Amino acid sequence: MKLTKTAGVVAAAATLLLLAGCGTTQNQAGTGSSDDKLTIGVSFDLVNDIRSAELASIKDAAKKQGDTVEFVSADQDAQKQASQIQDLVQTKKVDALIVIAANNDQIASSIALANSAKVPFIAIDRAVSGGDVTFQVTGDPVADGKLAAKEALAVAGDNPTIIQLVGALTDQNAIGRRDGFTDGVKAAGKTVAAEVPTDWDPSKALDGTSNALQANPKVNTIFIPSDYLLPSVQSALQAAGKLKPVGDPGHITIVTIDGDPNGCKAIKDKTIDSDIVTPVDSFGEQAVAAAHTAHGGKSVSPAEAQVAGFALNQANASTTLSKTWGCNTK
Amino acid sequence: MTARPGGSPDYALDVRGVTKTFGAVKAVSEVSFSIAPGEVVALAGENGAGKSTIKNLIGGLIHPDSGEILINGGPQGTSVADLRSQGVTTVHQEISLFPHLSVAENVLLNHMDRYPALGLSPRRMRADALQYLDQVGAHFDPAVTVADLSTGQRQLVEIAKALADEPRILVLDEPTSSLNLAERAKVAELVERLSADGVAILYIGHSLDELFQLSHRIVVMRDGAKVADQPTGELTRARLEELMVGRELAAGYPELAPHQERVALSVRNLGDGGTVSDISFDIRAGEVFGLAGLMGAGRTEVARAIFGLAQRTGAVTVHDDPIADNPRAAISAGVAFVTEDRRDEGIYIERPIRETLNSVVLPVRIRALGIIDKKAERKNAAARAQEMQLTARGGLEANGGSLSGGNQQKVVIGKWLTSAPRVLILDEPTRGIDVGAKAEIYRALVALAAEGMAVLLISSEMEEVIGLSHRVGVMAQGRLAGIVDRSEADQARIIRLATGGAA
Amino acid sequence: MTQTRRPANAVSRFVIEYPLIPIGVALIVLFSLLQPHFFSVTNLVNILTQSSVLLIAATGMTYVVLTAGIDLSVGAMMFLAAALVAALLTAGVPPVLAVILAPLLTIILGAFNGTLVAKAGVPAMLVTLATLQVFRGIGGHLTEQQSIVLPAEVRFLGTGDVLGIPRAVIVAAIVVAVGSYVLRRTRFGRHVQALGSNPNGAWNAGLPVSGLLIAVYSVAGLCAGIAATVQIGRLGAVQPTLDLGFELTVVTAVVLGGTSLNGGQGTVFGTAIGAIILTVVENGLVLSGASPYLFDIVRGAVLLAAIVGAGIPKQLAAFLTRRGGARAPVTS
Repeated sequence: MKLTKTAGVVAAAATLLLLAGCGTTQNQAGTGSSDDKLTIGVSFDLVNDIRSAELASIKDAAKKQGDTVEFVSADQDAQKQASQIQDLVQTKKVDALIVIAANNDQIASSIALANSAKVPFIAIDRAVSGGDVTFQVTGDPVADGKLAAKEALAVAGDNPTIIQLVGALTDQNAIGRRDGFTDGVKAAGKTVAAEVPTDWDPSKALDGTSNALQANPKVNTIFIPSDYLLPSVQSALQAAGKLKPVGDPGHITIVTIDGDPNGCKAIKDKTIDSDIVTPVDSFGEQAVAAAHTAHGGKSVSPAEAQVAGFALNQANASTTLSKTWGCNTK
Repeated sequence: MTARPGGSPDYALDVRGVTKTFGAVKAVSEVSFSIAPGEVVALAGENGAGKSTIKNLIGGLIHPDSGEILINGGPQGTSVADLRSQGVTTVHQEISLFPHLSVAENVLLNHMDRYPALGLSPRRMRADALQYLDQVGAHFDPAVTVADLSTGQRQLVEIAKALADEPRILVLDEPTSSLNLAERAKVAELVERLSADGVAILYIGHSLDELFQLSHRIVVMRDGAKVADQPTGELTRARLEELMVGRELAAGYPELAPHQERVALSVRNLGDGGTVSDISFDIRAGEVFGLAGLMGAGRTEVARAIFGLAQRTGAVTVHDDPIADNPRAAISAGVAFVTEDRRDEGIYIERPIRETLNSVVLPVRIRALGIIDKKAERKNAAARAQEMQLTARGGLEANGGSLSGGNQQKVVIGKWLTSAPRVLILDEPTRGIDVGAKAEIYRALVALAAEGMAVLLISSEMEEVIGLSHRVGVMAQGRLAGIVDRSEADQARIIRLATGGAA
Repeated sequence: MTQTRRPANAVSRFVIEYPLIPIGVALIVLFSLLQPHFFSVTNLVNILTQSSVLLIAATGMTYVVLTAGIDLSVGAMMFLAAALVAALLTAGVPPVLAVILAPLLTIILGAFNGTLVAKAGVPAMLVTLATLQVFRGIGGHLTEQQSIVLPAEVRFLGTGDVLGIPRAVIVAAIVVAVGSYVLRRTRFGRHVQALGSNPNGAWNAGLPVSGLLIAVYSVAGLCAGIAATVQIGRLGAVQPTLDLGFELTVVTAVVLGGTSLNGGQGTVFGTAIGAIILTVVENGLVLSGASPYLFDIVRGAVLLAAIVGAGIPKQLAAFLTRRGGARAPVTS
């Protein structure tokens, strides 16, 4: 009797396996329900704290839905990313993709691949174009830049001498933040004294800032488009003897974007004036939600969401610190 | 050289029945001979006879498959360094110097432990190096980088380097191939002095004159085996050549055919803006014009200037047409230049022989697209190989490097023949080549001249120049000291002109 | 037969050996014209400070390239060293000890590279490309891909000055001086150059080839470690992309300085000039206020001009010596 039961179970299991194997290649989008537990392929690099936070927010949101996350990192290499996404779609057969494109132009082939496999392609953090993107949620770099300008001018007063660092020119966010800041400054009738290209490299930021400080000794405002570069700027200031805390007459106004742990600490330590915080948690929530909607067969609307950052500064620190993701990481 | 009494019972170097096989080829088979302290033994043989293998076995670079080598009655050390401490030093044919280091550093490289490891004193090293350099008659500044030296000077440094080992057994492989007369004399002096000091010397060389002049005994090898081991006095040159080649060699040089009247190459007031100036001569079609002189006299410079490789002044015409000062123009006008450095400049060592043979004029099927006509390429290669009587054991697809020196030289000359030149310039064409191959090259040259080729032959071997040329131009210190007709050419006269004396 | 072509004149000899110096001078003049600020004492000291990390790393790389090798893992080694310091600090190791341990670690990493190159017969480029990934991976693991700000106590090599000279510059000067001396005046240095100059000759002469190779890669590792400690001193933080791609800059400095990738030829002094010129270009570009989009183009154009320009003096010299008929001076 036991034998028959075992045989039955084996037969049932075998049948299930067979069905699973020769069934359709994967769950077609729209053939499931938004309540299914999904396997979500996530592709981006882990080069800084914000990425780690973004991954964490995706994982949290996914956990709440019971989803599994398959994470791969392409180390900022667009080719590698394309291959890895191909693996996720064709071999791992994920139900949805959440991607930060290493390169906006080269991501198009991956979007096309996802489209033909009917896997929802969701972009976060960096805007992408070219292809049917199910949903994208990004920050609003231009708005953040403008807000940063507003914050800077609010503190710097009437005669600001501004040094503006610029991120990698292949990064949409860097360009957006730069443009937003420059526009904001221009709108107030002021100009930027010096631009420092950094390629998002800490060494270049350090050397470039020292050079700019030298060429513009009267500088009183510095805009750093990412907290990632903050330590470099602070080192440069220190070497020039110009690193003074808020409130000190020699203090140079510093405004950054991101809201990462360094930025959070810097606000607490009163070494910087303002940090435009990117609402990273929101990225994860919205992305996972969109994955479920698309899987359930509905189209996601609106297909694009831009979430502007909010200002964390010395004035509102007491209430805003808790909302800043950088202050909430371990 | 008078024969010394046969070596003392204790030999310095004792080679006993050594055999060495590489793959399917038995390079050396049951060879035995010995050298007593103070004895100079010459090792003669054609290329491929096994001389290099013996040299490397003695030098410790390879080890015998059977048989043994004894040093001073005891077993041979296993590494080159061990052998050095046993007093065995080899001067190889391939220059083993380090071009980017100075002469002093090269000479003393194996003896840097004489100086503090953390603080080499360039001054001390220079002074010490000078000692050895003086012994070989090398009078140049030891601080010079070796890359800046000429081939001959480098060879002297090699020998000086060996002397720094203060060897008791010295193996010399072609030590004078790049040296001029005066330098060779110095080396001969050195060999005599070392021999008198009790150093056992194994001398490998192609210049039979040298072997006769310097050695007490001659060991002859052929096809891997020893075929003779006799006191030098008992051998004649002809006999030696016979032993080496295994057959009787026609004596001397092939007979020259009379040349034509019309002028093939005309050179007027030629200079190269530095070394040579005011050179004027003509070469007629079918004439072999030898260019003799001491090293440094400017013979190669003349050739380079004619061929367009230098900043030329003066006029060069080929069959009455002036040619511009660049190699392309020279080649189009029908001038071919076989340089003295065949390994670096003449032949593709790592590419098939066929490619070298076709490298001057590539047969192209469709000119515009530059595609090579493979059939024509093979055909041409075969024709040239036939013309030069080239024996390539691995076929024409084997690498250039697989050939012996003599065959390599045939390839280099052969490649130029593709362009059907009218003027052939040869710079030291038989350097480092064995007797058999030399004879073949002489035959080829003379045959080419008989067909109307004008030949400019530069050679440091006086005998060769006189034997092969219709006329001999003698260079001295950048000028043409005189032109001697064959009938009046002898060594004494040429040397007199070469050293600045009057004809 | 080629005669020796060595100009007797010491000045022209110097210019030929270091053709970059006139190029460097020309660049400095150019940038000074574009931005007068360029030629101030502060800026020149700045340039030296900014080139210190590169100077140190490139000195070690010179040894490797002299043997016709290359070490593409330098940047990754520096990152790993920095990550290690951060990890040690978190573990409670005293800062000075942590800073000393970093170069010790990188010597071992370098020896690892060298052993693979010497024994495995794999080309150095491939070996170090692979170790690059490994080192970066370990470093990333240690830092958990976070940016870590380092306390002031580990920054002593990169901050502050002694008698007005920034410490970073002093460290760089010492490394360059020692590196140059060892190469020129020790048996080891001469053997290294010999190995690159004629590898076959080196084998035949019985030089300890494997040992030499392991040693040069260890030297490169040591210099990477020292460079890393100076760098974190200056930056004050370890970021995940630290020194990404830095190895290319290091090799550029070495090659620009006249060291041949084929081995055998080169000097530490030449490399130092190459490193400083690269930094002069970066510094000058920022000071001139040029648009960042132009930076890559201008940087490349300047490098090209420097490389071509370095070739011209050689040709000029050859031309001059031909005239003068200079040879190796005969002493008798």
